[in-house]
Parts: sequence; C-alpha cells; structure tokens
Amino acid sequence: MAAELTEKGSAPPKLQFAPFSSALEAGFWHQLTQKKLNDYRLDESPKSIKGYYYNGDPSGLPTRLTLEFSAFEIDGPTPAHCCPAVGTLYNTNTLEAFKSTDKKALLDQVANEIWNAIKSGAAVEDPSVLTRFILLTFADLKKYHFYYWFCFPALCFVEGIQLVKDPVLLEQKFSLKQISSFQVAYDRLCSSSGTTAVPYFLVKYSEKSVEVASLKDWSLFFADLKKVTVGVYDPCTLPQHPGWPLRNFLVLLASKWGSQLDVVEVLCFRDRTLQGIRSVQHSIIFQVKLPSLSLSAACPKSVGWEKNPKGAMGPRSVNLSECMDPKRLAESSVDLNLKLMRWRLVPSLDLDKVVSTKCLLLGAGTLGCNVARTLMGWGVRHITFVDNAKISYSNPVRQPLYEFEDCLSGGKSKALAAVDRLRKIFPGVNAEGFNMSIPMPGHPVNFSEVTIAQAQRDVEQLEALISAHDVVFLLMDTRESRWLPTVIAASQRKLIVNAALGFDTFVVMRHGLKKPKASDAGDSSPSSASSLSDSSSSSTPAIPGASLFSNIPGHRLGCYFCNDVVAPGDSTRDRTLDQQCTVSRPGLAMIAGALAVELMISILQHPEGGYAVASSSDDRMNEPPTSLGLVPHQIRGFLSRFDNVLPASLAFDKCTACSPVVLDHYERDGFQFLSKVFNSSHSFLEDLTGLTLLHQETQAAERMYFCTSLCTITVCLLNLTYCAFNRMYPVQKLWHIFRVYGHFFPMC
Amino acid sequence: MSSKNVLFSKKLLIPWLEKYSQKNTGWKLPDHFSHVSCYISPLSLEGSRKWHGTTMMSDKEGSSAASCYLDEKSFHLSCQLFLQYSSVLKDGWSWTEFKGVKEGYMKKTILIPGRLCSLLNQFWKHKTEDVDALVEDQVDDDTENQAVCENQAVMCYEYHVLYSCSYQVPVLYFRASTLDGRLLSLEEVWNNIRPNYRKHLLQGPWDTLTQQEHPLLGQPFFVLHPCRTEEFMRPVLQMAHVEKRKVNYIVTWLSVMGPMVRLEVPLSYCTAVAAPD
Repeated sequence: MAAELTEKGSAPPKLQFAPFSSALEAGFWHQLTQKKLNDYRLDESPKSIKGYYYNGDPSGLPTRLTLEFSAFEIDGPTPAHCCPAVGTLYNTNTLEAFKSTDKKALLDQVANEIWNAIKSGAAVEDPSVLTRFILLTFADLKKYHFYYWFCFPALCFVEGIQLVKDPVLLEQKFSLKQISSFQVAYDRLCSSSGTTAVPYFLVKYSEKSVEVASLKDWSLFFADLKKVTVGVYDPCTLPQHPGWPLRNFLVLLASKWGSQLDVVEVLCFRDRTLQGIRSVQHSIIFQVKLPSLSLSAACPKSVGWEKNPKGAMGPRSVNLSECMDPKRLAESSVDLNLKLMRWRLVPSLDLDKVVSTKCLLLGAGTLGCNVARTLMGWGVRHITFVDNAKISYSNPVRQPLYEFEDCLSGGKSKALAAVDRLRKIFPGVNAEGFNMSIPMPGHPVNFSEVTIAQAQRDVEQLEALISAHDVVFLLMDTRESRWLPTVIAASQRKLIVNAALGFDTFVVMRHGLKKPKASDAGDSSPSSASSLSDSSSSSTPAIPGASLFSNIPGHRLGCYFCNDVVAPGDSTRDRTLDQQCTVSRPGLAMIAGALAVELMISILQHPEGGYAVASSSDDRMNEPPTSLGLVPHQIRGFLSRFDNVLPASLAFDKCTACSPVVLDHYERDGFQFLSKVFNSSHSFLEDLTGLTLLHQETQAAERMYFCTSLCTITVCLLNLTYCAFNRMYPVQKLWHIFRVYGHFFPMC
Repeated sequence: MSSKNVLFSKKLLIPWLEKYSQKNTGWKLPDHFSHVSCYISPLSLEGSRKWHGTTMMSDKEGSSAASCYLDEKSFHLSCQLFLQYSSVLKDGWSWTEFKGVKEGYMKKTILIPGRLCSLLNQFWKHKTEDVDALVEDQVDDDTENQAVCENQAVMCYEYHVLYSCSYQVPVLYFRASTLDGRLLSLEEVWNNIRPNYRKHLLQGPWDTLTQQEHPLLGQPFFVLHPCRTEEFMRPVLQMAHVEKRKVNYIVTWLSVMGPMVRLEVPLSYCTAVAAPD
C-alpha cells in the first residue's frame, strides 16, 4: 500500500478497505456447544446468527465483527451504539465436511442475495442487508477443538475504485460548528429511526450546518447530484482506510445512481467517547469516482473469506479444552487453588515438587483412604495403592473411598476400588492399584513351592513398586507388615512416611533416610544411642533450649522399628501400643492420615528433603526451617489430651529393620535372607542384630541399672515440677527420658 | 454484655485480628480488640457476618452508622444509577438480564492491544495440530487489489458485576481472551499487567483472585473473591459516614477493585452518580 501511494504520479491511487477480523467471545463457543448438543445435534442446515460491529474503538484496534453468546438470538438486542450484522452459520458434523464444503459457492450465494437486494431496491429501504457474514464451523466436542472460517462477502468492482481526494480527518474538513451540527443531526436520525446506530446515511452540508438523512430519502434529500456526500458507520480506526462495510454500499450507489454521479464524497463516521468526552473529529472523509455498474448485469465478483493468522487463505482453529473440557477444568482448578496458596500465603512454596511426587500407599484402609484424599488435596497426581483385603461392611463408614455397594457380593478389592474412586473424584489422577500381600516376618511362606514362589514374586513386585515411587507410606494395620517395605526402602534410599494408630494415640513419622550408598564408607553407621546423644548435644550448645536429642540430621534418624527391642513377629503376641488392633477412635485415622501427608509436604519443602534435621517440640518457638514450618521426625498424638508431641530419635544400631547388618544381609542375599526372616520366629532377627545379647546383658545387669532407673524417675519428677508452668515441656522431656533409657527398660 | 458473649467473640475475632494486624503493622491488636469487644452484641453465629459490620460503627458516633454491606435491592438501584451515567459517558456498561431467573449482571467488554510476543507463543501452543493442512488456494483473495492488512494481537477483557447474596456485596467476575475466544490463563493475565504495578497488586485485592464458574452462565471466570470486599470498603464507607457524604457503593467499590484487573472507572462517576435513597 505504502509503495502504491508513492507511485501516485503514475497512476491514481485506488481505495483500499480494512477487512473485518472475526472476534469471538468465549461465550459464543460455549453457546455453540450447547446448541450442537441440545438443538442442532446432527442437523447441518444453515442457521441465522447475529454479530455486531462498533465504530467507537480507540485507534490501534483492528476492525472487528464480534459474535458473543447472544449471537444465536437473532431477534435479541444489539449492544448500544453498535451495528448489527446478520450471518449464516454452517456447522458441519465432521472435519471432512468442513474441508469439502464449497466455500466459493457459499460466498456466491450470499453475494447473489446481496446483489438481488440491491437490484430490487430492498437494500435502499434497509441498507443493513449489505453487511452480511458467513460462518463455517466444525466443533470437535471430544477434544474441544473448534475449526472456523469467516466470510464477509463483498462485491467487487473489477477495476477497483479510484480515489479522487485522499482521506483526511473530518476536523481538517469541517469546522467545529459543522462537526457539532453533524453530531446533533446524526443523533436525531438515530432517535427518529429508533436505534442507536445507523449503518448508512446521507449527508448534506453548508458552512453553517450539516444535515443527515436515511438512504431511502435520497431523492428528497439531494436536489442536485453534482456533489453527493454519503455517510457510513465505520468500524475501522485506520486514518487512510475505510472499513469493510463501505464496499457493498459503494456497489449499491454505483448501480443505483452511478450513471448520474460523477464524484461521491464518503464520510467514514467514527464516534468514540473517552472519559465522557465524545469525538467524531477523527472520522475520515474522502472522494471517489465510482466505476459504472449496470443493474442488469450479472452479480459482480465477490470476495470475503478471512485469512488465517499466518496470512494464508485458510480456516482458523481454537483449542478450548482448557476452559471447556470438564476434566481439564478440574485439573486447572485444582492447580489454581494450590497456586493461590502460594500467591497469598506461602510465596516460596514449591508446588512442582509436591505435584510431581509419586506416592506409594501400602494399605488402603482407614489410613490409606485418608492419606490418598489429602494427597489429592495437595495436587499429587501419582498415587498407587497396595492392599490385599476386600471391602467389608464395616469399612465404608470409616474409609472414605468406599461405599455400601462396594461391600456387596463378597466385597471389591480395596486397592482396585480405591483407584476407581480416586478417578471419580478427580479424573486427572494417575492412580493404580495392586491387590497383593506383603510377606511378613514370622508368617512362614515355606509351605510349598507355590507359596515360596508367590512370596518371591510379591517381594519382587514390592521392590519394583518402591523403586518406581518417591515416597512410601506405611499405612497397614499390623506392625510386622511394615518390616519388609522398611528394609527395601531403606536399602533403596526412599523416603518412608509411617502412620500407625492405637485406640486414642497415634504415631506419624518419617524414617531416617540413609546417606547415598557411595558415601556410606566415610560415614560411621549409627552407633549406640548414648554416645550419639552426647555428641549431638555437645556440638550444639549455642541453641537455646536445645534438648538432648535436638538437631539430629535426617540420615541418623530412626525408623519405626528402632524404638523397639523386639523383632516384628506374629502380632497375636505383640503388645506395643500403636498396633494393638485397629479399634481406634474414628477421628484418629483422619488426623494421622492428614498429618502423614502434611509431614511429607513439609519434608519436600525442605531443601535437604529426607535429610533435613529433625525439628522437635523445642523448635516451635524458633525460626522454622521451611516455608511451611517444622520438619519433625515423629508426631505422637494423644487424643485423650488433644495433644501432640514431636519427639526425635536416633537410628538404633541393633534395629531389626534398618540396622547395617540387616541391610547388608538383604542386599547380599536378597530373597534368601528375607525368606529366612519370614519363616523364623523373631529370634532370628534378634540374634542377627544383637538384640538377644542385649536382652541377656540387660537381665544380668538389671540390679546394676536399678540406680539409673531411680535417677530417671527423679529426673522425671524434677522436670514435671520445674516445667509445671510450661505446658509444652513435661511430656516431651518425659518422652526423651523414656527414649534414652527405654532400651534398658523394655517394660517401661 | 455477659462475659460469655465476650469470650465467644474473642474466639472468633482473635485469629482474624491477628492476621489483620500482621498485615498492617500500624494497627495494634489490643486497642483494636478492646474497641471491638465492647460493641459486640449477643448475636448468634448467623450474625457473625453482620458483626464485622458492627465493628465498623464502633466510633462513638452512635447507632445510625452505615453498613459496609449492600442489600440486593440497593445493589440493583446502585447499578441502575451507575448504568444511567455510563450511557451518558458511553462507557460501555450494560445490563444483561438472565432469562428465566430475574437475576442479571452488569457487563462491560474492553479490548486491549496485546503484547504480541506474550500471545504469539500461546497461539502456537494452543493451535490444533492440523489446521495448516486446511489452507485452500482456490478461495479468492483480493489483498493485492482492495484490502489492506491489519495484523494485530488483541486481548478482550470481559467484566461482569454480580451480586453475592452470601457475602452481601457485589462481586467482580472477569475473563480475558484472544479474539478467537480462547481464554487467557491466570499467568497470561498476570503477564499482561505492568511489572511496576504487580507488587502493589499482591498486597491488594488481587490476592483474593480465584477461578469460579459464573453463577448465571456456568462458564469459568476469574473472580476477585468477595471474602475481603467488606474489609476494603470499610475505611471508605466509614470516612464517608463521618463526613456525612452519601456514596454509591458500586462506584466506590468498582474504582477500588477495577484497576487491579485493568478496568478503569473514570473519576467523574464519583461525582456524577448518586447513591440510591
């Protein structure tokens, strides 16, 4: 265009028009989807729709034809000060039909209708019929992809339109008086025709005043046809070009009055209000010479298909799955909710770490169900269940992933039913369930070749599962079933979060995460509790309130079995508090399950992850190590008192699960070692780890340690008295004392 | 006032006040608290919301204090007055009555020339895979003859003002889209805010931003959640009350909320739009 203007000398410049850009509000696609699903279904017949254009845009915006959700209400109101445009919607059922639709034929058909309206004079009566559009669509409602192609039919003068006078701003042509007179006249025309916008009109002006009239009053309005001025409601904002609606109007003028007219002056009426101040000064005005066009001739050539964003003649497409696909909506809403937590409250929260964590839930009972739900709340997408039980009638009231129906005819497998429910709750979840048993110490597997082979397969399966996940949750109802995963995960250096329930007490803990294998040699394996406690307390004297067991780094923390001096075995003979049986206060599983997940989240937010130094109750007053607060080793809860304490304890070198000797044997002998454990009574593990020896020593030295026990009790009492004013300390101190001497007083 | 009532109120109030005093370090908790506690009426939980309202009239002014809430009738009247002036200004606001229910909302759409780079990547990311294969050579194109090219990234912001019965305040819903109707994500909306403005926004009502379904259209919209609206409005309404000025709630509220999401409310609204009687 620029090049063309510079060549003015050689050939008179031709008028160029700014085509419409299609502008579709999101609501239009929603409405189209509704119409397709409920009304049109497979009906491909053309439908009338309605769009509008506006002449009040600030400069810089493209000339648009807008379709909003109300486009399907053909008789509905048009927004104030906008011009309506009637269109035809062709919605195809397939992409093939969309492709093979004869676009030229569609265009020709509408062009013919426009031409007929011009010939019959209908266009003079109601010139709004000149602005038409076609919309060809294909809605792929499985993917929420929409293909569309707009056409704004325009009849063409083959040789173009010659500009006689270049476009100038109205304020350069009109005086202020003329402009305000024009405004008043236009507004009066609007109100007399009962609208707020008139698409085409006639203009007559003298130095004093400006008059306007509707097109049908042509012969009354123009006494002589020497110089005729017409007005067009112009949606374009370019200073040198009129918008598309002028094209068919010029064709109408040329064919109706072209023979009598020499030169036509065109006022492209632009009318914007900014901050309450109205301006029509920036309208443009120019003169053209109309080519001759005979009414008796055939319909002129027409153009109008919109280009795609790359500038090629092709359809456009839009992928609206993010705002229309319910599954995507659920996903994005879940994510957004979490992001808002970051925006509003915890700016440094690393959500990606959380969302990408793969969680293995061993046990899909009361704890498993509650852990899974809390994980989903945190946006965790990868959740795997392992359980061998079926859903029984007592389960659904306590296990929120199951319903009564799940118990019928023998009950569904918990692991599989839990997965189904998770997907129902949130289709974006990547859940899997394994209906399998976890071999346990003291539960022999050597009945037959078959049972041995089965046990071996289960072990391999569990090893593979643990290896494929980032965090392992121990949520079973027996103590001994926690042994194998504890060993495997310790060996694989996977983080374990363990939750166990008593009647009204619970423990939620992370297992110590052993240092990576390469550096094992340099680091001394956890030595006896007393020597380590000395070193840790002496190395951190500066921290006020640091207790005997503060600042234990993650790799030195104990596991679930470190606190015990009996190896796991058949639980019928087991007596420890947190695994007596599954009769617990109903709220306990929800509390413990939620705490287990929140503990995992806090660990993930710590820069050192599972190696994070354990926070203790003492740290409640200190600067927290993560944006979410403390990263304790254990949370022990006492529902009877509605109280939690945060003890931390060291790995025990004679632990039946995570001590070096057990891990060495497991890593060296694999299933052979494990099967020995499964098949033996607990003495095997106790002999192996030296617990048997410890028992013997303890018994022999019982009298010798009597003094110590007296001291312990004295210290307890002192603490209780001393800290009477501080409700935080006594329980915790007591716990520490119990922990230090606990190994020597198993019955304590 | 019975001691039981004070106790009950403390329990509810303290977390809120603590949070508030953390944000505005100038506000000291004890003063505020003593202030409030002596005005608590023995209301049920139902009243706990009104109750923030009563905290506001804790000045010695007396009993006829203005409410920080807006009842539905006043909402409609305030909107009517707002729209009347908008039509004078041609500011683009309109009322959309929803079929079937007698509820409706005030709506405005604006277009903003987009930063091309921020949207273009998105375009390639969101385009469907096979659209390039659909280009047709046979279709006539008269660019060379009679059409001029306009290529422009434009964002369309759509604002809806609805009434929230549960919070008794107006709620601002909005969404932003490209011209093909694809909604911008929160990140894209955020990226289109001038960087020097962002810091300010994070402290303001922006942190109540969330995504919800439009209650009447059922389509996803962003919402400046009404949970803190009363908090923003209180100082303004309080001041107006002290000065015995009447303010149009919608005008005041929209001029606070709007700029956060690129919605400008011309100053003249403040003087020209009256409060409903």
